[in-house]
Amino acid sequence: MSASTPPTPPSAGPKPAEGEHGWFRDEDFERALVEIQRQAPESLWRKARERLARRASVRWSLRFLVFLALLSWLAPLMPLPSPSAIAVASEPSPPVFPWEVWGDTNFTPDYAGLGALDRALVRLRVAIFDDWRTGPWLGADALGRDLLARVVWGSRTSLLVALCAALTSLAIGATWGATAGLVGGRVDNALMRIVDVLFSIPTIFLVIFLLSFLDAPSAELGREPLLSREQVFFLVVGAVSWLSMARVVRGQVLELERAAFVEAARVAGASTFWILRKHVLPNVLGIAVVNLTLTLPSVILYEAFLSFLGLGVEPPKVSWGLLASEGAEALNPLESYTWLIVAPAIAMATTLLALQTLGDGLRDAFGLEERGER
Amino acid sequence: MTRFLLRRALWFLVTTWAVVTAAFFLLRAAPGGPFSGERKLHPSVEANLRAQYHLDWPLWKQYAHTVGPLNLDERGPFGDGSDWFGGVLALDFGPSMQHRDVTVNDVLAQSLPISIALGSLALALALVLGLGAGVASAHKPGSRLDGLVRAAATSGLVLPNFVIASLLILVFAFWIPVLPVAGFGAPRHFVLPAVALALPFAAYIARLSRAGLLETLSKDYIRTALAKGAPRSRILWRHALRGALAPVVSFLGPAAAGVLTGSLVIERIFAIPGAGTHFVASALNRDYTLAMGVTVVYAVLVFGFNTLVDVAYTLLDPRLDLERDA
Amino acid sequence: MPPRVQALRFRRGWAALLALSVLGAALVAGLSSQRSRADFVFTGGGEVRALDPHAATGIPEGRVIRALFEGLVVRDPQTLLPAPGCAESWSVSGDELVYTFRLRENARWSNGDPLTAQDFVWSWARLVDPATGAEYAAQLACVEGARDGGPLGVRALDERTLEVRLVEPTPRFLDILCFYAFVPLHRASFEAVKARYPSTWSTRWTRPENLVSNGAYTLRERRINERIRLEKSPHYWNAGEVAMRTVDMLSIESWSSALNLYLTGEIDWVDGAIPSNLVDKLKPREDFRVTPYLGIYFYRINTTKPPLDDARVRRALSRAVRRSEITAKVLKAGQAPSLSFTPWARIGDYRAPQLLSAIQTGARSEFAAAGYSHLENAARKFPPLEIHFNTSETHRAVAEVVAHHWDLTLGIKARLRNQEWKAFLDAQTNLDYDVSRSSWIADYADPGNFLEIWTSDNPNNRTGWKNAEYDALIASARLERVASKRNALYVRAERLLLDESPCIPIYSYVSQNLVDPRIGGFDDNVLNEPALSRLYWRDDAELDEARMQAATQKRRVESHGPREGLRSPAAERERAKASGEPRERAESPPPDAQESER
Repeated sequence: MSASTPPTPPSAGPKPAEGEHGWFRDEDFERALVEIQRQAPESLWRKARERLARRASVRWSLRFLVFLALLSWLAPLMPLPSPSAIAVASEPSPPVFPWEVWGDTNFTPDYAGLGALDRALVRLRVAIFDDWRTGPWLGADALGRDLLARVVWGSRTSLLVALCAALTSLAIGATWGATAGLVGGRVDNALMRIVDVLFSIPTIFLVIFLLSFLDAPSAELGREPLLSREQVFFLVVGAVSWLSMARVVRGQVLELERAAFVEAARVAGASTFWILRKHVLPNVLGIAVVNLTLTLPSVILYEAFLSFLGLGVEPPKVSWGLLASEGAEALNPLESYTWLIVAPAIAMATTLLALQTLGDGLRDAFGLEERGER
Repeated sequence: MTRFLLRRALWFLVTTWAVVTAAFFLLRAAPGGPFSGERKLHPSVEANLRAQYHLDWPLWKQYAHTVGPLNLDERGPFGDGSDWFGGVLALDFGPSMQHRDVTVNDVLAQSLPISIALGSLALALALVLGLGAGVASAHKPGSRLDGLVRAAATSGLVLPNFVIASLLILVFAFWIPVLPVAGFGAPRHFVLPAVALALPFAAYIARLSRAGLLETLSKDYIRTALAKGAPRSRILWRHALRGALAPVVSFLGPAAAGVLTGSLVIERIFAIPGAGTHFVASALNRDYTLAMGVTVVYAVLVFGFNTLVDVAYTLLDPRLDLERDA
Repeated sequence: MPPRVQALRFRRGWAALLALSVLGAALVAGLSSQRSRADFVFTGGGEVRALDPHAATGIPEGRVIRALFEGLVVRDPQTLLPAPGCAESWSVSGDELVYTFRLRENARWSNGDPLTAQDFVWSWARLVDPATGAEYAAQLACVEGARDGGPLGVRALDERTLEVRLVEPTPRFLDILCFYAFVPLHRASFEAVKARYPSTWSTRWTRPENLVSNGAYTLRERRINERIRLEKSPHYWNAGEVAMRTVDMLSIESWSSALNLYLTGEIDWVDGAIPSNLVDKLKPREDFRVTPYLGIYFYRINTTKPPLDDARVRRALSRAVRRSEITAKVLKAGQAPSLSFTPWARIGDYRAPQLLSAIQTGARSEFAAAGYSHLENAARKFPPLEIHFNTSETHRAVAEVVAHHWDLTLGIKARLRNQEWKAFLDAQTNLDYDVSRSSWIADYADPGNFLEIWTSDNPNNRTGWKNAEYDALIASARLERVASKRNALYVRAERLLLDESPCIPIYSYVSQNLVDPRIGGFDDNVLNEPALSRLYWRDDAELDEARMQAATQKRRVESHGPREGLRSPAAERERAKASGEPRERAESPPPDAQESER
């Protein structure tokens, strides 16, 4: 059950094509040829890029996302306090404006749990900034951990989860859907019925099952498990979110198979492979990319939901969902530590807003309609 | 239509069977059992408990007993025959393993109406808010109102619902103390949870209906009506909305199933004894029987609403032929 | 299709929306009962899983069952010593093998039937019957026939006299009997339900309409995950002393929701683990009551995994944990750092030995003795450990601090791994962990209750640690009848346990209760078992007096209870006699905000 996100609507079976080509069959052949020229696959992507670039909101979203990706990738390089270093305080401390406390010089690098690249980045950071670090601009939590650092480092987990899970869902979903759509017949029927069944199982069952299986403990002391906890987490979230991707891709493949320009190409004697490469692939890729962009926000929200249940990432790793659920827990009438929830909420909201805008822009650019994916 | 519904019914049985089977093996394969606890049970006590719930049977027999419709234990036709029928097919899920003196049917009978009440309120609210916003925004696309509605609709989709609920509590229960913070019993207890549950759906509906409306408005028959001088608002409500509703309806199917089975997060934050809690709790507690009960309920709702949506589709778009599409 | 029909169909959409709202509204109206607020509402510990005293385990279950039923003896809520329950007196034979209980003449079931000795004979026979699957049946093992399945040594000498024969002298027998599993059940109603519903009786006999109980309260309503409503029983032998006429126990999973309800006056007593960042806010309030609690929070060490099989390594790990930092800065409510496995280092007359205090150098020298060094570039690096805990904010915070301490003192890098509860327990039982969080709560106040879990064959050991000397010490302590000698044996056992350190005791629990200041008769004790039947509402005069007499002056908070108080009929009569003016409101509802609808 996807309790935290509105369930993604399933799309029904083969519905008559109602896209841009629905009117075609009633028109004369000459116009069809013109249309084929116009809809040539190369131009689809080029036109999409043009349309995309025209929209200021999309441009800004893209810039923001690129900035965020860089920021989270280069987080170890930033002169931030350690996100996991504990300085146990009696209660969360409120934000301090940068002009009041600009920074401090008590940073000690902590390499535990970092990969080789991140270690190098931390070393570089020490070389550049020495032990200087920023002040508590966003405040700190009850264990004295700097919230700004946690939000920045949390973006790494959240974005990585989103990206990996979305790619997993693309890999499984697109393969599944394309197979169903291309092979058709009984195979199609069987594959889509499996999707129906999976849709009807509360996802939380799958999550618990997969987590408990993939996260088996290591037999020997100190031996790294085969998959790290985050990798397990990526896989699990991806494995439960590919269903709608499969339906969308299959629907698009079926639509294309019946589409006039594909028929025309077939009549003109084009090979199946050529049709696949020139017509089906670019068109399916378009819709898959759009769906991917829209899967990212729902994966980030699902991660938050799992964190709320306590099934999220492990400390010292930190994610936005974890921060938000910690912040939500801290709200109460005696003392609302509002900054604990506001900071991760704003980070999450802006990112998701940017992703949504980008997704909408992409969808418009590819000339797809916003409908219940039906 | 009858043929369509018959085929659907058949598929429904197959799907439910597959879902039940999957849930049965998934949960039993997960580590831990219903009777493990911080204090380990004495082995003989645990053995007796397992025997009571037939966990000592071979898996195939447990499975057959779970599916039904015949009881395989001493009550069934091979025992004293006091209670021939049981299992999923007889809609008798047996006693809960965590709540040892309550049946799963009791648990569902008490919690489902609460979730349905909350869910239908939230759904109605989401429809009213979402369609209203969608129409308002499509009335003059590109206007300031449109921008505002779009921003609001998008923001409903960018925050986890526990954050939305917490903020609602902060504002309407603490800063402006007009509504209870949590609890269950009086109608006013439903207000905040229903709003918190409805907001993301309202946002989605607003987006869908706006897009649908704009598309329909560009169609020829609407242009004709406009050219004839019919007022725009009348066209929006009377003619265009109908065409624009299709995506909303198709979204509502699964959404309704999700909303009506309750939201764990909202129920936990507002201390509402609905069914959503049991989805997670039964899985976490390895309450095999309760888990089977909620799975079947969920499958029935998902399937039922999808069928309803398909029927509703033909009402909205008579060109669709269910017979062929089934 | 004609336009008219289309319009009609479209209108159906609006009709559906309307129907949806009507359905929702109707259900809301139907579900909103006109139930009035109970005299006393409390929450804590989550959902009650079973009301069958033989199936129930756990703290919330115990609270309800003790209100519904009464055993032969009950714990005095102030001293925790066995006090007469429905037995008015008892005698013990010289060899401590035969106990004879005399039941009260006016002890009755809630349907008016007299309580008889036969009821106990039947109930205990059901308890030890393997088919019942009662977890606490093993506690009756000291009774004749309980272990070998022979005839149970429990006899009704007459209607009101019960004789219990033991196989060996058991000094704690009366303590054990206070436990809620040993209450009597009403045989006639039980068997009537069983006859009427041969296949589903087990899920029916504890329903409000079927359950007959002998305690201060009867079951009025039970809604899963929502509430249990109790109503004062008119047939209870001591009904005159019971003040609260209705009691609600709510099941609320989220602590902050419970706190919010308490602060708005919808709940009168909240018992729970309070989020630590709130403790400082609550501490100055007069309604926040912190009491030592007989529970220990500790880490198990998997002694089968090298290098954790080395006792020196385990001691180093244990000594490197700075417990006072955890209790003072993470938990903050008054939990005590624990250097012994017995919480609070004492139970009754027992004084527990202490692990050498956790100074860094001590931990490092133990570590060095085992061949490891805390230094970054040491020749022999200690492999990274994994701290295993079940999903919870507090467990995570403690684990993070412990990992920090190990890093500081021993240079050990510890990873954290949380698991959901059932998978966690499974991993712990199968020894699939390095270091794993645990806790142990006493059933009754006795050191044996804690130390016995470390014997080799105890299913709760779960560390792979086996020590024959320890087993022998515990076995002889169990049979020792002289209290001082028994305690001496336990001291030796616990010292051995700390030397071997299969576990790292971290802190002793406290119970944290938020209780409306107007509530009287709320006894704080180490088991956090105040007696519901003794609670009452103080009136303004008494509240002021209690506030004046309080040992420490704390910040006063507003009470949501009835201003004129609510007392038991007996107390009310006494006051009337003392003041000379008759007061006529013993059984009438309190006329104030308490009556507001819920």
